[in-house]
Amino acid sequence: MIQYTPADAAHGRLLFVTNDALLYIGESSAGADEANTSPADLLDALGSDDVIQSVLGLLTSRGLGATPAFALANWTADSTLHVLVRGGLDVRVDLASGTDTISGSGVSTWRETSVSAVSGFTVGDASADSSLSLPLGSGVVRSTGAHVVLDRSGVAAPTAGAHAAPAPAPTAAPSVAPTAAPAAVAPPARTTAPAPTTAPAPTTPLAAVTSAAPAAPAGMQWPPPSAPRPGQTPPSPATPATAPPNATPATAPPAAAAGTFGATITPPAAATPPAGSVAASPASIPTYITLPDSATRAPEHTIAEVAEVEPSGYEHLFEETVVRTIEDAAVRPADENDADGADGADNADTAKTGNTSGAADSPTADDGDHDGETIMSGDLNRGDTRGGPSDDAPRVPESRQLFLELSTGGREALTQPILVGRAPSVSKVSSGLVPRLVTIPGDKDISRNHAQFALEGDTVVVTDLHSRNGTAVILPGKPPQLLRQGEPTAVLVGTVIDLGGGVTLTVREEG
Amino acid sequence: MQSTTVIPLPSGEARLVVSAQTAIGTVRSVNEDSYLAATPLFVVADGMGGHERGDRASQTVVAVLQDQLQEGTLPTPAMVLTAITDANVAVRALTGDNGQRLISGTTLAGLALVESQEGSVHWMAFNVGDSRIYSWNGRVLEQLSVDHSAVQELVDAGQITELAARSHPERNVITRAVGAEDLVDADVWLLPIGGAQSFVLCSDGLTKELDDTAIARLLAEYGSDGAAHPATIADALVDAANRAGGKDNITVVVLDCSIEGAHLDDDNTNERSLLAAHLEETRPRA
Repeated sequence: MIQYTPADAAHGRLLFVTNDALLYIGESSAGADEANTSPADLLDALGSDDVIQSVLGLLTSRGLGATPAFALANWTADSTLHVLVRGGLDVRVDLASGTDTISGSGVSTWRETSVSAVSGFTVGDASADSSLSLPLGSGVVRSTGAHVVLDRSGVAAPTAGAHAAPAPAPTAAPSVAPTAAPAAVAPPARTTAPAPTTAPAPTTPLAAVTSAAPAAPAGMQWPPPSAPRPGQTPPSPATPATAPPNATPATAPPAAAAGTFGATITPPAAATPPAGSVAASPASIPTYITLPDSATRAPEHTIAEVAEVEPSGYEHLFEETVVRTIEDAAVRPADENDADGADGADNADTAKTGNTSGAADSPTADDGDHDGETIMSGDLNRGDTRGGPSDDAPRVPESRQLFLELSTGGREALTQPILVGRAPSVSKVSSGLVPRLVTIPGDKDISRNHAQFALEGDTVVVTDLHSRNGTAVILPGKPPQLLRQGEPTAVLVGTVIDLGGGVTLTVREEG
Repeated sequence: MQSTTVIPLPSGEARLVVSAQTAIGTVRSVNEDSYLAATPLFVVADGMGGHERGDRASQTVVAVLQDQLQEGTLPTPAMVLTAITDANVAVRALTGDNGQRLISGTTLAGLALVESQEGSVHWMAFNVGDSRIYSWNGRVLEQLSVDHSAVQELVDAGQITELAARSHPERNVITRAVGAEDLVDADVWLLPIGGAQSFVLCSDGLTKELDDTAIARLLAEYGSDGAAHPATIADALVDAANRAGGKDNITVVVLDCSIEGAHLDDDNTNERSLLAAHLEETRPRA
């Protein structure tokens, strides 16, 4: 059993926990943040077969100087604890003979030791006050410290409190759950579980621990390592899905839950009797969905998700969202009808397939998820069908063969600046910039020097040369715009430049 | 020397009366100026380099231009620019009697009728250095080119007046020349043609002795007061400069052009000179 003391980002360091290993990251000697290694990678390493080597490889990947202080513990089934400590951290090991402290200070690398017959150990500044501690299955949290109890079988065992009689009346739950979840929850738009109000709340004494979680939301900002890899955590929807809206504690099937969270660290043997209760109060908007059969076995994904899920609408990124709101239920009658005809497996499948199917089931509830996609493609389609001419606009091929197509006939390649006018002339330009003069004879609407075109990079730039009647630029599908006199203006291929008097030039591209 | 030539244009024709004269002046022992009057191309070049034979530099430029631009046909602006570039190369390749490369250069002020587009003819003016191109409409003499000289930069910067520039100790320092660098950067103008137009090309031997007002008076009075005159207006200008001191070589090309045909634009019949109308429409900086 692991109890950790939650903390916010400012005070807590990262605590990684898996079934048989724990990693606590302290400050690096250089003062750098611990985050120079991806928490997701670290958690992966911590769960690998070769824990020590994998984690050390990551921590020291940037050299010893950038390696943070850390405490890495790995325990076996025979209560043998393997500890590595670096920097200012220490690990206090509980032995039958008392407490032994393994400190990482005073060594330039890290201290490594193995201790047998360990009953538990403490890392960091674990609070002695159990009301400030939270249980942890596996995952990553911000914490100031953690206390681990190893039972005879070498598995983290529930603390004494966890073994207390199961009990709580359903009424206890409302007071617990609402406070536990507020910030942590957002309505899972696409979960198939139709019964938000029935989210089972932990009813074992440890439910009280859960109630200590008000501090948790603030301290659990870190994105759960499981978030980017939804597939790694077991899908949980089964539990909520099978809980009817008015479920009583008895309706939470312990067996199903246990199966769902088979990956948690508490052995089934240690499970306390199921005592799922219902968060019946409508006020309990978001509720933890924890294991009904044992509060001590916080499913890893529950911890992880609660830890980082904020009401920010990202829940849909995770296949299994464990909290939901009453509102979800309220808008889901249709969905429930669907669910009526479906068995649990179907629901689970639906949940696994993600929000797409959920959205199909419940358009209203899934507006958030689907709106985006629909509008996007719709916009794209509209743009495609409407903006025919714009298709050739913003492309920049390797080398552009741009030219002007004159309404009076002919074309002028933009290999050099082009000056268009009724009687064009050029005043004192450098010999390298002499423009080509294009005469539009006869039309008095057009000034002698009317407009100049130049290629700057790959962009056609047109400048009205203070012409008397101005130069209009007509982008495809847009109303004409009068150029500001003397101001070079970039135009796209396909743009029509109107000099007045019916004389236009169109920017074209070869090929 | 004076000659009259007629050159056909895409529509109509241009009749050009050209007079040109060069003089060594009263002080110098070598005339380092050269000129070319080969319709439709007119050039004045003022060689520099003193004993390094600046005359060869100006002669080389003129020769290259004459060689590349065929007399009697309208070149394109690009052809003129290419010829200038080649002339620069030729000047830089000049070697002295001992085989060593000559350190010399020359100014270049020129005017040419060019066909800038099918059926579209313009005057092309080009300038490197402090020889000048003026336009003359019978009343007003207007300097078209801008000197590439140290004093011109001072004038442009507002540090000295044009009057002070005439006596500035560095008035003989130019900032650009053909043959001075690997790449020559000429100023270029493309001007509309039409009606009667007159231009004066000259080396600084003229403008250092005569200010614009004196030149304009000579242009206006030539042939109007019934007095005895030099053979050509170019001769008259050179003589006047010589009388005023003649401290430098003096070269003048005066060009009177009348174009008949469909090129005239109604706008051009107003009181403003072509040049003034043109300069009004200042191009924005690139």
